[in-house]
Amino acid sequence: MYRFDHMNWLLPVLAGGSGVIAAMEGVAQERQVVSNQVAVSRSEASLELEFSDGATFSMSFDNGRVTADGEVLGSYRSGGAAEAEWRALLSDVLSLSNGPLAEALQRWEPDPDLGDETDLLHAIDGTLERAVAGVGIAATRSLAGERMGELLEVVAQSENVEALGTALEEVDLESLRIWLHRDYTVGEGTSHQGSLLVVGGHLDVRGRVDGDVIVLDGTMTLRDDGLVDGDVHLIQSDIVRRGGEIDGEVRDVMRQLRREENRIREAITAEVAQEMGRARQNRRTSGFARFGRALEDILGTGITFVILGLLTLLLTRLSGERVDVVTRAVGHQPARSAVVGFAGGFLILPVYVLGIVVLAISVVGLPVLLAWLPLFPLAVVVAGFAGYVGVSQQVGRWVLEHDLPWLDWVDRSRPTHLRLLGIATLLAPFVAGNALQLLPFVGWTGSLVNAVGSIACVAAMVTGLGAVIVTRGGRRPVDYEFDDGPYDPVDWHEADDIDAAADDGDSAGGSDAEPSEGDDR
Amino acid sequence: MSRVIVALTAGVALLPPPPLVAQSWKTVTSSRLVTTEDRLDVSVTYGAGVLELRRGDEGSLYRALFRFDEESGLPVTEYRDGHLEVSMSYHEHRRNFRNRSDAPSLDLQLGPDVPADIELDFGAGRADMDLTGIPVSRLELNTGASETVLRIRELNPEPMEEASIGVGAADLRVSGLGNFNTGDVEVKAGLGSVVLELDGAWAQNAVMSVEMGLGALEIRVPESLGIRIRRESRLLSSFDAERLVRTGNVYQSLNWEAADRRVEIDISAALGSIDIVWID
Repeated sequence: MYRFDHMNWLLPVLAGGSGVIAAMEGVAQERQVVSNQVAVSRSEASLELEFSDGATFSMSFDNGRVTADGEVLGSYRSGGAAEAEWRALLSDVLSLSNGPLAEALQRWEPDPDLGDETDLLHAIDGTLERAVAGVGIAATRSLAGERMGELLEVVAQSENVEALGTALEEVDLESLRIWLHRDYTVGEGTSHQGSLLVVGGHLDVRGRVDGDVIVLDGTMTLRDDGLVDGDVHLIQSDIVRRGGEIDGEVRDVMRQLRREENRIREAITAEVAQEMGRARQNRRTSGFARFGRALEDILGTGITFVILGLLTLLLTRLSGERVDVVTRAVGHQPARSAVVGFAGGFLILPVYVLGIVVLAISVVGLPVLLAWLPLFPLAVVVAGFAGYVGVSQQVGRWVLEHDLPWLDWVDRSRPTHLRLLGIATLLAPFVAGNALQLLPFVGWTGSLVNAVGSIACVAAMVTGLGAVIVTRGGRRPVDYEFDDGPYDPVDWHEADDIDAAADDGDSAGGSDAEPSEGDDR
Repeated sequence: MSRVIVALTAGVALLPPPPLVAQSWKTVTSSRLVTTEDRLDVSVTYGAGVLELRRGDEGSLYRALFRFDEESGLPVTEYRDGHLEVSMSYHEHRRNFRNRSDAPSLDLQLGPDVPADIELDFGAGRADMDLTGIPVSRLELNTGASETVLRIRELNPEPMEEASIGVGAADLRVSGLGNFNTGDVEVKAGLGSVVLELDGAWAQNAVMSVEMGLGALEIRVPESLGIRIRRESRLLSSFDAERLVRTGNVYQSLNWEAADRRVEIDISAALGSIDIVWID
């Protein structure tokens, strides 16, 4: 298992080596397939090639005819054996280019038992081989294969595949010579051209090595006159130095790998920690998290409604007529209330600070200061909330004016109903905004709706605060304003008749008159 | 009147879909090796479907794999003197794809050996562009109504002159802006959701310009990066400026002076939200 895990990166090294070996042996490719196009559909299957010398080639199966470079080679049966063979070939070469593509086309041989379409397929085979002629592949493969065979044998026999691969990555593979379970001596006064790989043997360097040295499961001795003009890679091996010189470095590959493993392990640990941090961050934005957050916000809005509702009931019970006075001020003088509330909002902090200063510098004010410090902010909060409730009642009344059938159960004669309905209406944008944030593409509109809700809430509080200030905390009702319409005098004679009729009705079945808003308290 | 309109709309929506014409799929693969090119101008125009762009093999100049309905589409892959044009023209207007397997697709790979100047126009659909390993010398990306992901996971080996990203009505996520290896990034978005991740190697300081019309913009910033944001005042755009110090309409990160790399961001947003999210 260990070996296979590390074969993946070793093979490119071998493949790279084979390419270099090919170049060394002078088997240069004369032509290249620089461009290719494969088109496959129900009615067509075609191949187009462009070569480095400017030549082009095309072959097509199209609507029953086979053409090569525009010339008709023959006819084929739709869905027949010839078409199936051709499509299979195109499927094989779809992902290939240049040498491998040319090789696949050259090696392709149609099934000899295809009946009446055999001749056509042979003609195609011959045409393809002529087209890619000159793209040298076979020689390259055989020379490289010979050296790769040796290397693979070493790999198959070694337990240190990863280390070997690491060493080979840094070695000049072009000139690599391999000694497998054999000893090798570079004689005194002689030189070895190229790199050396000694596996399971002893390397005795008395002369010069012009290249790198790898010793795997073996030993190496460097003598007085020995010289390695490159690096020495030791894998489960020892070196005995009796003089001599190494121009490059001596590397213990196993130790190097262990260091690298530790470094990777630390990097992975850091990466995992970083990913966990990101995951925490992403949890905020993932679909489920978004849904959960929106649900949480909606639930929060519900709890807010319950708390505000309870406070409203408490205020209604304790404030007597005062909230009614504030409510009427909001209804009759909304603009004035808003302006006063806006100005009052700005003045709250200066008044508070001024009060503290005045009380602090006066000797008699000190006891009052102790009360001023907590009670003034509390009074402001209560005033703001009382104003908010007053505005809520007007909002509730406004909602009921729309005769919404699903609000029939709301008793418009009961201020608490109106106030709770108004509060629910003022909180509704937050619920809608949170719900909108769940939707794809338009989720951002939820933020806008929430912003609108916030603005509405602030406006309600400012206006309500203004109404509280205007009515001196609900103790001084605002003056009513009457319509300036034309004077329409009452016909008192007609009025007397109506009163008489009303009296008759009372004596028969009681009054139909509605109670006033304050009657239910 | 409005009830009539609602009823008509609901009726139309509930009608069975028209019978589908059988599609005849065609696959076209085009590829080319690097020969004498030292620069590549890439122009991609893809109207609708699924677009993937990624790094190709070494030695490869490009590889394009089209999958489309041959009755309605015609792919174009033209290369001449360092100019590559990849596009898909349609005989019929087929824009509504029921699912991914029903949609045409283009898988485009650009090789790692030649610096590429990429101009990409994408209409509707889904685009996944991973430019990791492609030496990009300039990038111009325009998308229409699409879901687009653009990322570079390693430092661009080629300094990028500029990166310009235009988004119509779309979801766009750009990751690894620090790996773009450019000092000039411009993002213009009309409508939708845009996420810009400023992670990556940041080989140089940079200036970013972001214009948002209507939608949500999220900028994800590594804690090591210094940022300075100049926000043009617009009505109805919220700005979550966590851990930024404000001076007028300029917001500066606490590490601005000490940061190795700094990014100046000009943001103009008309309507929507702007969130700055700090990442590890």
